Amino acid sequence: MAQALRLPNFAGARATRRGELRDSDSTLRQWSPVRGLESPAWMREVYDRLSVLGALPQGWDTYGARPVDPTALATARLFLSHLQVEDLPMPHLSPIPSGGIGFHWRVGERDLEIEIGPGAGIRCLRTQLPQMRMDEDEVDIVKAQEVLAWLLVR
Amino acid sequence: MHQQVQDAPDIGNEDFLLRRITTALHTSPQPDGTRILTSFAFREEDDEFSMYVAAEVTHEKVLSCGHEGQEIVELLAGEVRQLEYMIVRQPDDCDDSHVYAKARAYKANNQIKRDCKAFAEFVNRRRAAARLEAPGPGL
Repeated sequence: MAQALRLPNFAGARATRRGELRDSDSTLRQWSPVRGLESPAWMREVYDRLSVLGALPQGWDTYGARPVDPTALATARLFLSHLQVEDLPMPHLSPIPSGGIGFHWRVGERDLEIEIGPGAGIRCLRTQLPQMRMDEDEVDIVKAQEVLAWLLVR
Repeated sequence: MHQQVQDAPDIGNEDFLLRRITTALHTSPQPDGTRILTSFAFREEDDEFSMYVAAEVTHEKVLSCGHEGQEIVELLAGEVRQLEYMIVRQPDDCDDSHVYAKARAYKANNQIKRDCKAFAEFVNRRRAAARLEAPGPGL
C-alpha cells in the first residue's frame, strides 16, 4: 500500500556535448524513491510539522535548547521520503535540544524513537514494554526501514 | 575549577520532582486518546535534568517560568537516584527549589538516552495507574 514507486534517475549519468545523457556505468541507478499516490495519508502533515519545528527559536524548551539544525531537518525529510513500511502509523515529532529531530512510534508494546542529530547521524532506540528491554543503535536510512518493520512484527 | 556537588540529603526518595514539558512536542498521541511522554522530554543539551522540588513550590509557580503550552510532569527522587543520578540543589531565577539531576559517574550518550526513556516510562506508568483509579481526560 505505502510502497514507494521506484523510478530511475540519472545518478552516474553524464551529459555529452550535445546535451544527451549517457550513463557512465551503463546502469541508471535510482536517485531517491519517488512516492506515488499511495503515500500514507499522514505524510503531508508530518512534513508540515517538520517545517514548524524548523522555525522554533533558541531556548524553545525553556532549558536553553538550540534551534533545529538545517542539516537535521534535511535529513529528516530524506528519511521520510524513504519510508517504505506498509501500515506504519503516523510518527510523533519532537525537536531535540542539541538541534536534532526525534520521531516516536508506539505500537502495542513496542516503542521506537529515531533521532536525527544535528550532524545528520541517525540513531534508534527500541524499547520492548513492559520489560523495558532497550536496544540502541546507529543506523542509516536503509537500515532504518528494518527497524521500522520491527514495530509491526506480530 | 571543578566544583564539588552533592546529592541533596534533605530530599527524600519519596519526594516528587517537577519538570516542565511542552505538551505538543513531548507527548505522543495514542489511538485511545491518551498521550504518552517521550524520552525527548528529559533531554537537555548538557545531559543534566532540570527540576523543582514539589514540596517547596507550586505547579503554578513552575509553569509561570515557562511558556504557554507547557505542563508539569512528576518524577520521584528515588526514581532519579535509582538510575545513578544525584539530585543537586541549584536555586535559579524561577525558584529556590530548583535542582538538577547529575550522573554520579560518567555516562555515555547512549546510556543517557536510555535513562531518559526510563524517566519517561516512570511518568507514563504512574499516569496510567492514576487513570485506572480515576478515569477521565489526561495525559
